[in-house]
Amino acid sequence: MFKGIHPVFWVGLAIMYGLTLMFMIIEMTNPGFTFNAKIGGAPAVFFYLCIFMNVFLNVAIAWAWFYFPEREDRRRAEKGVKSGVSRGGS
Amino acid sequence: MGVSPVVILAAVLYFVIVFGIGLCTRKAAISASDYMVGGRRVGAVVNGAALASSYLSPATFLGMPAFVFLLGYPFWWAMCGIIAGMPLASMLTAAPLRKYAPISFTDYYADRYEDQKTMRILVGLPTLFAGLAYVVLALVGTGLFMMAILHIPYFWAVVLATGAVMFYVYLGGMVATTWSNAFQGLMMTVAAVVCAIAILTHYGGFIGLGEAINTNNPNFWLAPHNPEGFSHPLMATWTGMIGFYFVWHFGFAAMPYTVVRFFTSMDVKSARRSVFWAVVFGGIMYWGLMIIGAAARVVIETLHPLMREAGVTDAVSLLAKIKEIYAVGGVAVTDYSMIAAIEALRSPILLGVLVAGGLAIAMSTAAGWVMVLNVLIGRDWMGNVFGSKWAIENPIKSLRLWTIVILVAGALLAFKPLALVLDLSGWAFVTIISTVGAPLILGLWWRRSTKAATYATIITFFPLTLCSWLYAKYHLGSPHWFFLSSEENLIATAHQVYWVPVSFIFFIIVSLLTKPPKDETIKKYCDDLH
Repeated sequence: MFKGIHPVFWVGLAIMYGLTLMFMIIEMTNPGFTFNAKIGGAPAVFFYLCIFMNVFLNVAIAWAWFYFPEREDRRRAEKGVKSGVSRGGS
Repeated sequence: MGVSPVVILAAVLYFVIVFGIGLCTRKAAISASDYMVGGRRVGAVVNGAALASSYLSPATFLGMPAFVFLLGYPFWWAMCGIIAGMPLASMLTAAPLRKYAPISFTDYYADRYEDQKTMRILVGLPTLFAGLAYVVLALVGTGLFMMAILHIPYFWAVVLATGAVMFYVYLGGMVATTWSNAFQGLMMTVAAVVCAIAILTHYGGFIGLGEAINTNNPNFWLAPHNPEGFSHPLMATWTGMIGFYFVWHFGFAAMPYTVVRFFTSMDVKSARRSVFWAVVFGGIMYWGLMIIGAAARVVIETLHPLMREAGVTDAVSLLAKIKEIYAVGGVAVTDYSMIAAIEALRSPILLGVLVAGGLAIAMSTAAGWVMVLNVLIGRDWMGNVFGSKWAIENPIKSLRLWTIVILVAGALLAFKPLALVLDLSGWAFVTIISTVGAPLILGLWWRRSTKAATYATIITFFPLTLCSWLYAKYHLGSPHWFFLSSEENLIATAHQVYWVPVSFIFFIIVSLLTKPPKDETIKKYCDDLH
């Protein structure tokens, strides 16, 4: 199952679910954390959830999940050209 | 509140652009392939914006802020879960499905599981039900925004909305849908961000907004298991917060209306990059929606002009009043909370931007789903399953006929929808992922996936998801309670989401016990697509 999937997929999953679980556990085990923990005077949840987890992390993972497979495709194609082997597929 | 010329102008401009796209692309959709998959010439940025706008529906634009308004901050995690689930598609389905390059959603199932007829009917059934639910919620959303612009009764707002979507889908098919969706993706992102910045500016930034929310409703900030209480009974325990996180999480990789967009991209590289751009558009828009949803209650209660006029003291009563004024049938009142919050800021320009964005997101989803359903019925069922000569010889006419039928049926249901828009969306997601999700994802990535397991999963989980959802909704009062829990000890399991992992385990077990397809089929539709 999932044979041939790029390893960066599993790394991305571990980071995404790991950080989500970590923040959720912190929130649920520290009563009042969501409003009382502040960054620059504002509730920290505005920044770590709404901006970091929701935008930056997801965009970074989406980038890694197209960049690394593409890089591998390029390398494979270069090797194929050097050894005179052509690969099909659009 | 009167009709604002600025708001009407924004809506007219929006319609001119969308109708212009429909008219310009009608000649581009002369072949069946162009009409169904946009000629496979769509680049990554345009496809990414189109993906975001069709995937993110009025359930997003109206429903998400409404649920933040109702359930408090814990629902932010559900929104984060939706965007976090989007990149999964780039690895799991986008690249392999583009390499395979089918025309319809059911093509992969029919080929991978060596069954051209029964499989198309079985896969199509949950798709049809969920798709209709989505067309309904999209028309409800478009109708609510029309109502906000023109201040006309809800009935006429839905009629206008249906006519507008029918116009450009009928003319341009997937070409028009893709280009208008791309424009709509940009429009809805701008609208959400501009409105969020306006709210933040009004309160003097994050500090002021945080304090204002806390003063108005301190429970908003309560996480599950807080000894002081909860933001909402559904968010009292971890099952609620984590359940909502996963309801929509896997949808981007398996829902038919996004999967067909991978078929329209130029190549595999473009399909993967489309997902990246969809995450960029979606993530930024969701940030805006999180802010608007969080601020909705305090903004409405302190600033909305109708509060004093209607003599009400809280936001929910005001929304009920608005529902009464415009004769909104059946729709839960909170769906209007986002529009009401922006109305409360009393800026016609801001409301103009919001309604243009709202119309964009609602119409793009309706169009995206209509394109899935018209190909399903007009091509797959009429042509491939029942062998209708007329449908095979006149593919575009057949699709156009079904476009009209689907939209008329959707409009009839939208006059008095059964549930709040986000509830319709949640049920559709859980049903689709629990029935056709495992056969698609595991079919692509697991050689042992079998036809028998696909049959068994669809036949078992379609009624299970539907009946448990309905039972919880009507017996326990909300589809978010575990349907077997007692009224004294309610357990929050958003939209019966546990069926998703259960269906995957069920599919694996049945696959291991049944005969796999031929080796050459597995090689062609599993191994060679990686």
